[in-house]
Amino acid sequence: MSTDSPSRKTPLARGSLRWHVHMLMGSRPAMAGVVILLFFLFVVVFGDVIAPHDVREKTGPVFGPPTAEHLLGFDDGGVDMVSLVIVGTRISFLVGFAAALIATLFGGIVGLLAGYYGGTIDRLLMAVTDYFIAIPALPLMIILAALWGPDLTRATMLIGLLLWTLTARVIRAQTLSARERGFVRRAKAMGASDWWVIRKHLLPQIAGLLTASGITTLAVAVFYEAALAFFGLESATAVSWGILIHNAFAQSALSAGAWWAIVPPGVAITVLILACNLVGAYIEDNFGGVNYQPHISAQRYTLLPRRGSAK
Amino acid sequence: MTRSSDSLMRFLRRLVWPVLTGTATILLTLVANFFLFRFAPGDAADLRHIPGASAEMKEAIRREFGLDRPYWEQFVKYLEQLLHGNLGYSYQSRLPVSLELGNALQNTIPLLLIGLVVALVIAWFSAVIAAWNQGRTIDQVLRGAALAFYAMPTQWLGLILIFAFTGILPSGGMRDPFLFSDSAWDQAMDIGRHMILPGITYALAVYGQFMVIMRTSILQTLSEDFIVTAKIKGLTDWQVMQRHATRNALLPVTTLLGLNLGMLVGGAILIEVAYSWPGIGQLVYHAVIGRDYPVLSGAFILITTSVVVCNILVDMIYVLIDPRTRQS
Amino acid sequence: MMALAVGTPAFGQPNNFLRIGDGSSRVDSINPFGAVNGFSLLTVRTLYPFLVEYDLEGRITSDLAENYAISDDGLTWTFNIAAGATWNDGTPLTASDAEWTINTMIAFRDGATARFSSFIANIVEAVAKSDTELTIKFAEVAATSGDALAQIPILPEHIWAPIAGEDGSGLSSFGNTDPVSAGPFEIVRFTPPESIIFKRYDDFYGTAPKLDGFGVVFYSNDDAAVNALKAGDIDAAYEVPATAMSTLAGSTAVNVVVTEGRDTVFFEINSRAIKETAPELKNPRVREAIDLAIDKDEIIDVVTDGLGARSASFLPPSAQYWYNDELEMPGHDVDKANAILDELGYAMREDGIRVANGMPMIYRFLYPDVATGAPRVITMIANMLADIGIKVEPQASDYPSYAAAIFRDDYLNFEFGLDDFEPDNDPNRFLGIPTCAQFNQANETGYCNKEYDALFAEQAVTLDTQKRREIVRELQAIIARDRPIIPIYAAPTISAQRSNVRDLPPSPLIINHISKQFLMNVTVEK
Repeated sequence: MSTDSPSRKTPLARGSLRWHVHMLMGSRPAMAGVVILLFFLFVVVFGDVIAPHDVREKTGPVFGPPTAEHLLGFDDGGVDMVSLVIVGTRISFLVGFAAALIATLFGGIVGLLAGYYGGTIDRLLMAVTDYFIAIPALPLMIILAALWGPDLTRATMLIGLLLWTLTARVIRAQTLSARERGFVRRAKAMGASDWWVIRKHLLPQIAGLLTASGITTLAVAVFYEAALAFFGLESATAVSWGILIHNAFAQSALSAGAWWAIVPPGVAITVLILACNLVGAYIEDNFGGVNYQPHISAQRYTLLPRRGSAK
Repeated sequence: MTRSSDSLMRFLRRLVWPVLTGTATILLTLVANFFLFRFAPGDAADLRHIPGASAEMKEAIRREFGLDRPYWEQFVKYLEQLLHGNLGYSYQSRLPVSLELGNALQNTIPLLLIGLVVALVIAWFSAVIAAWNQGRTIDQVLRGAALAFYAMPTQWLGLILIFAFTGILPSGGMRDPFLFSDSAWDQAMDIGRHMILPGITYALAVYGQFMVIMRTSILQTLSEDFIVTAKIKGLTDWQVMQRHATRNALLPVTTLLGLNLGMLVGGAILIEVAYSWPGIGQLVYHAVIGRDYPVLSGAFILITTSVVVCNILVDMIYVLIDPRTRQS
Repeated sequence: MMALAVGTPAFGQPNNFLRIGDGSSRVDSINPFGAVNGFSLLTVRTLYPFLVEYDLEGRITSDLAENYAISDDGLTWTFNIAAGATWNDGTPLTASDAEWTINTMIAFRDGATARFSSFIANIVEAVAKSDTELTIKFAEVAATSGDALAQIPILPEHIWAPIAGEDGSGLSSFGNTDPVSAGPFEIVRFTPPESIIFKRYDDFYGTAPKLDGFGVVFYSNDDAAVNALKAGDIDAAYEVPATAMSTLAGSTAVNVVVTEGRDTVFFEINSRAIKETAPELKNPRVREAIDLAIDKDEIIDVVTDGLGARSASFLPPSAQYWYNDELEMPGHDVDKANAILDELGYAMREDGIRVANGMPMIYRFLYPDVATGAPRVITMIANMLADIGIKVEPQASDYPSYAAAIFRDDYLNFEFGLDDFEPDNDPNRFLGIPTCAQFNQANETGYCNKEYDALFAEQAVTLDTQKRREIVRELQAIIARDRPIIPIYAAPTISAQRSNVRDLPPSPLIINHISKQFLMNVTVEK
């Protein structure tokens, strides 16, 4: 590649930011997912400002129905639901994010070490991983949270520490194959330190996958946050989507006919998880996934050439 | 002859490994379980919310449950009791934990199985339709629906369905206890009616992941060469779909079932609480509220053990139906 | 199908049958030594004879004992027991069953029968003089002897004696799933945790109930019970949430019954260890300011739909005779509260938190997650205290952890607490809560006042009810003055019944478990 050729006509460099944006624009679901995530991020940061009412103040009747000023009505304390859902975004998101961070870091390190060093370390780490995969996460989470007492930080740690296994598995597999690549072996043969090899050669290769599994884990963590809250195992005075659902359930919103106290937080959780899954799937598809082309389908009643056979 | 005995050996070896690791997992869990619960804050003595409860009374309760003994002594006793299938007594009901768990399990399993079957049926139909129409609107709608249901908090989906069907279908409990009928048919119908809403909730909550993986797997199968052969043999598209795609679509689902058993049980727990279903989930819920440690501990052992055992079974089924392991 | 389902299947379709539903409770045990919650105690009350019990007005009345006489020194009580009573397995029910039960409870009071230790504390022994005559010797004359006897079920000796074992441990671990009983109803089917079904026991020693039977179904949330009532699947629902009142009120088929309840929610101020951590809280003026800042009416409006009761005393108004209605109801006045704190020189910082003794007024606020009204009451109180420059850090936990945290290091780890208590018919045990003797047991604030303790001891042995009432009122005045616990509200008990249910009396308890008369006159029209 000559250094003086103008870059306008060359395709965007794979891995550059502009390339990522370009790729993303090509996938509508992924684009939607990213937009939703950005929207939630905005709400997390500016929630206090954009919430129309104070979530600590009673501004209407208990389980009051929606009005023009209070579009989603009121909860069991007469607090504006719109504001609650907006403010609740922060804790739900932060719990999910922190738990995903713990899981990804922990799982990533375990996977990396196991894949890179192999041998006894690999077997040992994978035995531990397999053990935690075999243990049903939600029941264990509930029981541990019950033993340690309801608390947001503890719940977050628990979720993170029980969700790292899949990341570890995936990253180990990727590291195993990356380790065998020519340039990695060359670097090792030339006496590069393990840390150097991991940092310079392996991390860039697993970064995409790590991000994908991080985002997917975020979705699962938000799901578990709501589940723990439903069991009353989070600090009840905090405002999160899971706690809003729990409060509505515990305070008999159904009997009061107050659908508006139940529906919005669940929709918010669903949308967030959906967005995470879309983005996660997109990253996975474009960094190691496989697309299959069927020989038959409703659209084309003829045989199609096998994928790749044209080349 | 040697060839087949060779493959039989390999087959057996493939079966032995999951059994070994599974047993190790269960043993480890039993040990971890003891220490988890002994180092929890608070115990049975503080459990009762009785004004004026005397110190002697609390001491008595502690003695009754052996909480005043040194840890190693408690541990030995714990292992001894486990050997006899004794999981201790519930703080709340004074009944053997194994009895409570057994009763709850009897109620959970039908709900779980029926929900799972319904989920697989929904998943299969929408996967076939989606794969058949790959890339079209209907494909996108079906995939979108699967992903959306998969993303919904299970307990919330349950509440929404209760809200929608109040007065039409029973939304609490497993049966009408005031149905004074000795007819088995009446009783079965009654339980069936009570199972509709929780069963559908469960199916909707879990079918999404099956649908997505079935669809991919069907597409994958349809892209393979033997499909071309089948077409050349003159089979119609639908026949091809039925004969090859379906069977192959079930393979990854077994794996998924095995991997996600824990998650499937988790979903059942949430649904049981929303619907007052008297199963393991509700038992755990009440044990959490009452901090009934023996029940929580027993439930943990039971759930882990059954998940591990099911995993082994799934592994075996996989070995049995996977043509590669069977023929090679 | 159920391993625990017991009893006779051939019950048939009963005519006059009461179907009860509840969304928050369940029968945890039908062993009297393990039964704790209301519906378990209702079951025990229904199955077993008691020497005496309460009537619907809260007076001691006869049950198994047709009458009793008290000796001149007041220490020996002689009971005449109904002749010809039988347990439902055909065995005669005699004074020796009562003798065995009471003496066994005394023998194992520090062990298996500890649940009854406070009721038998004053009893020396029980002696059966004949099949129909029983005497009980008390250690000292006490105002609470009748109340204590009303809490002691008489168990069939021929069933329980063999399982007791040497140390009595068999008593409390006995599942009692197929109980031999003698009360007005016997168990047909017990399917924990779902339901329990009773039918009339025809050889009951007292007046026969009108019902053929009754049953209770337990749901895991209040909504399910309300839905079942609306659908006609049950005849009466207990623990109906205040939020469901509006939807039920519209129906002509359902009547809602609201009763002033006994369960009272308290704001607790650490009265023991705060010398080290927050000396300002010792100041009665600060406590007054806190009381003034908490708007109880607002809390009652939000949490109980306006149905809860204000109380000037820590003993709620539903204690009726014992309630001190002369106490002044504390007002709600944020300005006055702020003025008090200003006057004390606790200046407000820029962030709206006051500083007292060089430290910001930020306090730990513990509560058990099962406390009535939690967590809504907690957030409301936190907001109200913020208005006077006091910040609280709420921390929820399960009940055992809450108790452990409160008592740890001799009350050193909290400043504020919140909990609820439900007084008995006799106020004795309840009044005993804020005594020094209850440290690390029922006394959650570490309040200790010799004057209070002396008066408390005095009321327990004052036989003249009028005089005892004066002392009880004085006790309430002391607590209202010192404010170790500030009553927030007494929760209402809300039940609902379909209009074809007749003569199901209301109760200040969630479910009446202190009187067999509760279900005696109920009829359910088809």
